[in-house]
Amino acid sequence: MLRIEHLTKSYGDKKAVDDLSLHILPGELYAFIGHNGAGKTTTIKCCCGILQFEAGDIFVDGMSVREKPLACKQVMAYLPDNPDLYEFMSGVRYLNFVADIYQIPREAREERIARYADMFDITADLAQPVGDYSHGMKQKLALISALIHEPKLLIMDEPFVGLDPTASYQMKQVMREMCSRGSSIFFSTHVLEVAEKLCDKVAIIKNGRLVVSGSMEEVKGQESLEDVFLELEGNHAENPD
Amino acid sequence: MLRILIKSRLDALLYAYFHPRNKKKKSAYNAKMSGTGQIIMLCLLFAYVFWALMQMFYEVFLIMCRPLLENGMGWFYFSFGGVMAFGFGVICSLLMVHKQLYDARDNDLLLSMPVKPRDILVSRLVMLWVQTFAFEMMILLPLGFAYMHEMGTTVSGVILFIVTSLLFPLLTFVFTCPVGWVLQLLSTHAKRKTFMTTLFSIIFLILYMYFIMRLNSIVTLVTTDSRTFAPVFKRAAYPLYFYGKALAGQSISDFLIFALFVIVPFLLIFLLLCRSFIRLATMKKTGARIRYRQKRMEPKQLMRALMDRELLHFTSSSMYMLNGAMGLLFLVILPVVMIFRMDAVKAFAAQMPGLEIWLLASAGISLISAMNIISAPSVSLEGKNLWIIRSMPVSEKKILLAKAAAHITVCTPPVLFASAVTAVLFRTSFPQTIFLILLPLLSNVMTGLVGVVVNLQFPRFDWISETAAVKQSMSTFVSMLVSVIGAVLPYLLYLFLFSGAVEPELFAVIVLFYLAGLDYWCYHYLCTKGAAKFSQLS
Repeated sequence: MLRIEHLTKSYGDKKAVDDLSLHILPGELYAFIGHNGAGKTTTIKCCCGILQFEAGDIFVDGMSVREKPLACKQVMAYLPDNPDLYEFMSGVRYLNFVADIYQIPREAREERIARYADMFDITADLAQPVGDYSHGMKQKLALISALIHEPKLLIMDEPFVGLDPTASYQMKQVMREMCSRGSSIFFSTHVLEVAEKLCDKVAIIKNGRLVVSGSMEEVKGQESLEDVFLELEGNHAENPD
Repeated sequence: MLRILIKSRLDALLYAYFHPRNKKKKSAYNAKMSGTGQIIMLCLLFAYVFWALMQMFYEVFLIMCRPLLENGMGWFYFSFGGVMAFGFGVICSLLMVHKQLYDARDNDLLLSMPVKPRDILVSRLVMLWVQTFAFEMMILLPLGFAYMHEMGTTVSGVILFIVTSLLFPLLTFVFTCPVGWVLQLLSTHAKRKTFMTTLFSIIFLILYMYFIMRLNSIVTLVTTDSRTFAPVFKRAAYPLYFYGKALAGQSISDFLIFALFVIVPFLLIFLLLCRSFIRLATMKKTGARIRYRQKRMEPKQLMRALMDRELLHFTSSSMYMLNGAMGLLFLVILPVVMIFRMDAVKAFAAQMPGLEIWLLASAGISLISAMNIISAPSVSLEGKNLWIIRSMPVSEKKILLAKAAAHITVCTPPVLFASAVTAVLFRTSFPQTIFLILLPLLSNVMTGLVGVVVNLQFPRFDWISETAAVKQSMSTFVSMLVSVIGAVLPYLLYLFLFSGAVEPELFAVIVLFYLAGLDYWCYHYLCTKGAAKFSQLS
């Protein structure tokens, strides 16, 4: 569903992502972890067509993000770490705008907005301007907008930040349901326990380079994901090269 | 601590005006040069605006000075100037006071630090004093210079003038601080805030423009009938009576009374603000809650959805509407004024015999229409939300064209209205009417497209308040300049060079092709290079 091949992206002289390759199959829940500034957000933004990159390629559902960006964006959705939404719109207007862009028919959008708004408990607030929303409510709204066109691939950057425990639980349920229907989810997180319990596969990135990737069992073995991650970070401290 | 706070406010102020844009996209040398260039340009612009306004007020005060002094009404001369400076200071600083004292974004952050609320307040007031002082000096300096020109001066007079000028912003604060507080209360509780703000701003602006247009006649009236007006001024603006007496008579006792009138109320307000600052700064915005009722959700076409997004953004902000579409107000008001002042219009047209009146009207409508800058900040206004549209399956070309289309949609009805009224008033022939409609319309299309083209060259995403993107950006300034020149240049060339050689109708056809060519070039740029440029933005 998502194939990243030798992705390289630089900011000036600094390589934010360096020759990174990953392959996410349909139905997989894939965690992407790394320290602050490791290159997670840059990788994610390249996958979503928000950032352009110098080398390598990214394929979504078999289509190159470089060559067919619109077709790729049509089948995927992106949820950023900080959901800055249109504060001049009401919640429902924002969802309708997203539905218009994805050309979702009336009945389908009405049903999905009602279902997800109820699920995340923001139905009563849908008429309020987004500017009046709390961080958590914006996160929920952004999540609904990402789900509204039933994407084949959902890419999220720190999706659990700001969510209350109930919403967090609901979100994990939605993620599992999506994957059981054959959609793929690729998300970055610092909450290693969530990644460990929820995901089929994991990739660890350090200083823009992929350190390890594979199934959760392969990567962590008998240890916890936290131990593996800290061990890799520790190696880095001992051997800066 | 206070020094640190004042320094941080000063840095913020300088950053807002002089921070060079797009630094990271260029080499260090280029960034430094372009930054220096922008600062020099802005300094020159500020200097020009200050000079132009001061020159205007200087002429006004020269008219007043000698007659009033000869009548022994020197105090009235300074009091009248003081009232003007006070009014100008209020106009220029009221929203600043509201924003910086009560609605500052860093209030929560500063209050969470070990900083006395009084220090926060003083640091804000110091910065407001600097800005208000600068505005008021645009009137007080010409007031003093005109007096010096007519009467000469002494060292003690100059010192007194400087000291009273330094105190003057405090007098303004006595008015603006409480009114800013009322504005804060209204903005936290009012319904239809955008509509109310826009309406009041327009009324305020019309009154202001009326005053400025009638300034000369008001000054003449007040000067010739000073015996009648002086007592009224004395009663209505008592502190300024002592301000006038202090400066005209170089009287220390009157100065002290004026200083008391300024300092005592200001201190009272300051103490009141100190006591209630935390409550005011943390006042929660509790606008009326809107109950959601599920309605039928009609799908829209892609372009329509994108255009509606732009229109919603525009209509949701009174600041954006007032600064981006002020020309619309004139396009509606001026034709109505023309109906009642046809004689003045004809007299004005007679001064330009080279341009037939329908061509002059076409130039005028195009010029006013070019002052609308709705599309000029539209790329910058994506700001932190740029990720939304960039992650969606929409081509850059459509995003950019929707921005221009929103501008054109908003501006077309007033342009048509102005053209139609002008055509009826001047009883233009059928071909002239067609030109009178088409030329301003094409010019309006050009303004909309140019705004987006220019904004792509000067995008600015680092703003905290949208005001910075709309009012303080290079894009809006350059866009307006280019649009005005593009709209008016052919008419000026015709007026001064070709009016005898080319028939008006033939000239209109040439302008029609010129504008259509410009429109096409902008459209083509947005579809190709502009779209590519937008895809690089992040």
